[in-house]
Order: sequence, then structure tokens, then C-alpha cells
Amino acid sequence: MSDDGRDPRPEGLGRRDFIKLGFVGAFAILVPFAVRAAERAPYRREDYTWGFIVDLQKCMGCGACVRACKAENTVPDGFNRTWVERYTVRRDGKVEVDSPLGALNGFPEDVPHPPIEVGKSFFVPKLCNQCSTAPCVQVCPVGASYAAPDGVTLVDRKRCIGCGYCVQACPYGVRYIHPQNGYADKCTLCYHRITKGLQTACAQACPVGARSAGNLKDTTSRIRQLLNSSRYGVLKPALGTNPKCYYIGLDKEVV
Amino acid sequence: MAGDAHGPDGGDEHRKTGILSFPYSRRFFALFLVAILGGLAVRAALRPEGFGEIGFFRTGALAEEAAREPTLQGKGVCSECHAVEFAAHEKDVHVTVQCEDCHGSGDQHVKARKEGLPPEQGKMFRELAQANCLACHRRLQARPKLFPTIDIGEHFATVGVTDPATKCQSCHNPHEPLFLDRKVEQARLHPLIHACTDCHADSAIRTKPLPEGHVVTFQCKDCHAGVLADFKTKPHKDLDCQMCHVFRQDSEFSGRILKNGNPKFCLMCHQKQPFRGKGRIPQLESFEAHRNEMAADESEKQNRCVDCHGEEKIHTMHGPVVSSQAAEGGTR
Repeated sequence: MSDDGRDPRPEGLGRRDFIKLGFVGAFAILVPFAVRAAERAPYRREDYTWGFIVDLQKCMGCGACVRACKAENTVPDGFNRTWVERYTVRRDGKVEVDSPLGALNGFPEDVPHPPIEVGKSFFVPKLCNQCSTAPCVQVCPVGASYAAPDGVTLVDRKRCIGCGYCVQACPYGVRYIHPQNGYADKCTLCYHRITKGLQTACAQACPVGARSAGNLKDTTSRIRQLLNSSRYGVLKPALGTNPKCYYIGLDKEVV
Repeated sequence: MAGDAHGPDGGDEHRKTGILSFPYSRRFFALFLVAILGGLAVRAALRPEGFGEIGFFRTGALAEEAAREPTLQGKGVCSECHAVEFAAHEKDVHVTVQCEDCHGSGDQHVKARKEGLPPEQGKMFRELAQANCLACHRRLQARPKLFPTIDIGEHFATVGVTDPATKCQSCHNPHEPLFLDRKVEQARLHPLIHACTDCHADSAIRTKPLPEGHVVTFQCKDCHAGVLADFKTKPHKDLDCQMCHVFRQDSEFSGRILKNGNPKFCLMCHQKQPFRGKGRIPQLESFEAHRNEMAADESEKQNRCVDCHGEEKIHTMHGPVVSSQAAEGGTR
């Protein structure tokens, strides 16, 4: 009891309330853990076919995806698993493409043409196209390049002998031989993230939501909704590689 | 013709007695068998475990690839400790920008903090250069037209900054760049506004009058003529509407006008700063001191800039077409 004889308990928070609050608080603290545990539920690969979608109308070429990919996958200097190209189509029909350091630091300079000469200009992020019939898998002599049952093309680093056939076979130029470790390396669609219920590093980092990986088998997934509602294209369709990387608002000049 | 069918060497004898009667045949087949068995043995020895079970690859490789731990943490992890910054960040226009886009990957930082290592371990980027902000906000011809971009020289001229090395953070708080009063998602929907430069490559065309018979585009003055006419008589008259009423595109057809009455927004230009030249833009030493000095009673000490200066310096706050729902900041 305090000096003036009043109940020392603060008004409005009695013992009962305090205990209640404790329970609610404990519950509130535990909920995120429960949610995280649910997210980590065993991944069933037969439920998934992974695809990727890029909205070219949103991409503004900041290069956050490139930096995120480099950090996530410790991609060696001078190589990129994903990069951003800038297409400049001049009014006289001439097309120019540039990608300084693969847009690792964004695009520090504007195109050297005055606006009056530029007809259209846009950014195109590139990454592994996750072909359904992948040439890189077909040419691998040791079964190190493979298409996982959930639709992601991967490299078995222990198996790879670094012959470089796949680097030559890939029509999109997304593969490279790792300069230190000697195996073929490429975009894995952040297999270690998507199988844990996370987005790919590049999609998570994109500040305008231009990129995302998604499950093509799930009709309610964002990628399926986007594919259903927008006009899209794939790169080099004539090669019959059947890519699962879709581009919204793709221009005919893009190769 | 019959002689030709038997061949020039005439091997009739061997054909009659069978191939195994050939002196070396048995040895040859024995060797062949050994080669096959040896090959199978070598194959069994070299073939990695689990190869070919679900495809022409080593099954274990899938689990190895999936086992790596993510490096980028995501803003959910950051929010566990940095609640204040996170709360500000979540309501402003940078809500879609991940913490790690500017501060760098947080894996070492989180690990160091969880293990109680000294603060020098796992330091994140903090002081960002102009170039880091301009990676997104530099004006480039390839950028989408409605994405907020600046030419740094032009921008500094508009806001009266004289020191070209001034950092963006001197005025803009990157966590809440526009000091919005409401969450971005709660901002009012607004039809798309067209700019002259959507069709014309020459940006100087904005200042020219519309020629006779030019197609009428949807512009601010079409609906807010009264407010705009009033605005043109006030000191801010040279500014674009969108300098304050930031437009954020949501879809092909619409976007949001962000609600903005926070004094901090006005102070981005009107706070006295060493890097800003004197004269053109009126500047305050201290907003709080100014407010307390001007306040007639206690209630006025909570006033925002627009409460006193709105009608006088900016424009009339009650335009003819603004409906009551819009004035309330109707949500989607």
C-alpha cells in the first residue's frame, strides 16, 4: 500500500487483466513461429512446376535484382546469373543494346542519343529461361545438367566436369564456368529459397514488383493470374526450347 | 550370278559348322563377356548413388541444392529489431523496396547479432551516396514515364540546392521519402494523368501552348480548374501539381494521389540548410520554434504548415469538383 492508502495498482490494469494480457502476448509472440513452421512444411516437388515472369513495363533498370542475385549466390566478379539489358530503338530503326557490368550498378549514363532520335527504349532483365526442352541438359555428357522434376534446370556441382558443352549449347547465354571452382554455374531460380516458400532473391529485391517466380501448376498463383490476364512472350520461340520464363510486354527486337 | 552370292572368298565350310567352330570364336566371346561384366563393374563403381532414379541425374543433388540457407533475410526479419524504421517504411512510398536493396545483404548482420558478437561485426551500409539513390531515380529515357525520376541538376535548381555534392538524405528520409500521412495503399485512386512527354520526345514542349485542334488529354486542370486558377496566383505557381501531389501508377489506367500534409514534407524545401542558397526559397531555422511563436493558444501548437499557410501560400483547399468522399481520402 502506498502512503495515501490507495491501491498501488495502476488503474485499468488489474491482476486479471495482466494475466490475460500475458496470455494474449505469449500467443501473439508464438503465432509468427507457428506460421513459419507451417511455411517450412515438407516441400512436395510433384505439386510444382516452376516458371518465372518479368513485367517489362514495370522494370526501371535499377539493377537491384543483379545485386541481390550476386549477394545471394556469391556469383563471382565479371559473371552474372541475371543481368539487365537496355534496348534503344532509334527512330531510324537502328537497335542498340547495352548493359554496363550487367547493370550491377544500374545504368549510370543515359543513352547517348538526344530524346528526339530515340523512338523507344526499355529494359529487359535476363536470366535462365528454364526451358522445358533444355539444350544444356541434352548435351551434358555426365548427367550433371538436369531438369528437376519441378521444372527447374539445375547443375550438379559434384558431377560436373566443366567441359563447357552446356555453356555453348545455351541459346540465352545464361551459363558460365565458375572461374575458381571449375563447374558450370547458372541461375537456379533460387531453388534453396523457392523450396522453402520464399521468393527468389531477385524477385524479392525488385522494388517495383517486375519479377516473380511462381508455380505453374497452381491456377491461383500470381504467375498464372498474370499469364491469364496479360499479353506475354518468350525469348527465341523459334528454337523450340519452350522456355518457362515469360515476359509481359515483350518487344520483337528483343533477342 | 550364283557364284557372286557365295562371295569371292567362298567361305562355305565355316557357315556349315557354325560360328563357334572358328578357332578363335570361343576366346573372342569369353573376352566379350569379360568386357561386358568389367564394364558393368566399372559402371557400378563410378555411377554415383541415386543416379537415374527419377531422371538422368543424381537424386541427391536436388536435396543438396535445396539445403543451402537463404542469404537475403527479407524485411520481415529486419522488422524484428528495427521496429521504428520499419513502421515508417511500411506506410510510405518505399514500402515495396526491401531493406537489403539499400543496406546490403543482412545475413552476416543477423548472425552476428544473434550470436552477440561485437557491433563491428556484420555492419550494414548506412551512408548512401547520391549514386545509390539515382540507381532508381536517375532520369533515363528507358525508364517508365510515371516512375519518379530526376535530373539531379534540374532538381537541385528547383529546390534551391547550391552544393552539387549534397546527399539526397539531407532532405529526404529514405525510410519515408514523402512523409505520407496515410499508408500508400490507402491513398485515393485517381485516373491516369497524361503528360505532354508521353507522346512528344521533346520535354520543352510542356511550356508551349496547345495548337489549334490538338487532341484533349486528361490533365489536372480539366477537373480542378478552380483550384488551379487560384494556385496560379500564389507563390508556388511555378511548381508542377505532382511535385506535392505525388502520383503513383498502379495499373495501365489508374494510380493513386498520395495524401500529404506532414510538415516534414514542406520542410524538405523550407528548412534552413547550409547547402541551400539564400533568397529565393523562404527558410525556417526551426519549425517547432516558429510554430510555438505563432500559436495563439495551446491547440494551435499542433498545427501543420497547411493549417496556416494553405489558403494563403498554396491554393484554396476546397476545389469545386472534389467530392466529400475524396476529401476524406476514400479507400479502395
